[in-house]
Amino acid sequence: MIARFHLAIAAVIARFHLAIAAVIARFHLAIAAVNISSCLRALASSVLRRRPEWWRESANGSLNSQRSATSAEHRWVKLGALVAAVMMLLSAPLAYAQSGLPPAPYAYVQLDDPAKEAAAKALMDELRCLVCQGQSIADSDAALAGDMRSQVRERIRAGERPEAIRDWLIARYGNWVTYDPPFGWDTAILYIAPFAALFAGLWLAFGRFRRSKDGDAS
Amino acid sequence: MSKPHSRARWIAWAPLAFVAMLGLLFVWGLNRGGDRLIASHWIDQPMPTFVLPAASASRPGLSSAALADGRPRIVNVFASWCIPCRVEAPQLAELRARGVIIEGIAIRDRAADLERYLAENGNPYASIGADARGQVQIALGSSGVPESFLVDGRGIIREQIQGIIAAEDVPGVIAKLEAMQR
Repeated sequence: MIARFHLAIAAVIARFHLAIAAVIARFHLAIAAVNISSCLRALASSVLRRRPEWWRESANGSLNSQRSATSAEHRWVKLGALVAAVMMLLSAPLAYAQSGLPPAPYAYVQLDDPAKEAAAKALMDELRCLVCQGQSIADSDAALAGDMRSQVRERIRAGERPEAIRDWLIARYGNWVTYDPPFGWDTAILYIAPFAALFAGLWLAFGRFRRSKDGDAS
Repeated sequence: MSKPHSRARWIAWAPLAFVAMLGLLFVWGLNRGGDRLIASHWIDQPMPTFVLPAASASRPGLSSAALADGRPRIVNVFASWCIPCRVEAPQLAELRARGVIIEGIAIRDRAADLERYLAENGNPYASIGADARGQVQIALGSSGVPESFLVDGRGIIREQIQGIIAAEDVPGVIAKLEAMQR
């Protein structure tokens, strides 16, 4: 009962983390999009500027003002390109050497039994890839993650409980390998912090309500 | 009346301060650098039970039962597709020359690739097991190649070395294996 309670809380926490990660990723995407669009716009305008003089003059008035705008915009083009290049470098996945062998049998193949496949998928979503750290083995394309997926599916097909497989992996890789770590002294903050935050919020809210009521009365 | 007011003002700012601290924590976490080495927790534990077929025609395969013959040794997890393994090869050759037994586990390797690798980088291994699907690697708690496990004479894993055994690590590795002998 308590274990199930913890599981539920851990699932909520994991989802919360996922949501934050998604927001951050979207934020980065947005910045990248802004950068790329500004680069494209700047490029487009610099291409347009290569048009004949008469076109520019008739379209934009005096040539002088156009010149100064050109150098200023060129600086922005360079800056934008630099930022975009740096971001692309940062986001480029590290090149991992991979083997020439085909993947393990159940790395990319689902189990025939839908119930068992669902159990395997639920477990794989909560196991962390050792190579692409921060991804689950369900999401990762690393060879080691493929081997782990195949192992999880085969063991669930053989009737092993997901929790037994998780414990087996924790014995090898520590709590790090699971997104749903067991309650312990080092994970206590994960379980206690939401309640602490909730109680702090309630305490603050009730404190304010009471004070404002007092204020109305006086 | 001024005292409760100042306290109220302080409390009003507390959530913002808390969220700002949380934000700083996230920024720190994002910039802390990416991947960490995940050490195996399967230390001071018996070698997981396995029987691996021979990965190379030149050496026999490897089974966990053969590791408890009273002689400490290195179990080296490697692969022909692993570039750092090539950097580690001279140190393994030196360990071999100084009498250390080295067993190999080739991860997700093709026989032809492995033969070429051994021809190019030398073959310090007494046996090489083919772990075509990384199952022994996972059972060892290993997260990459190369990794070396120091195994005592009873087949108990005593230490994991993640990454390359550098030239300056060689005497230390020999000393540890000799200490296990006694």
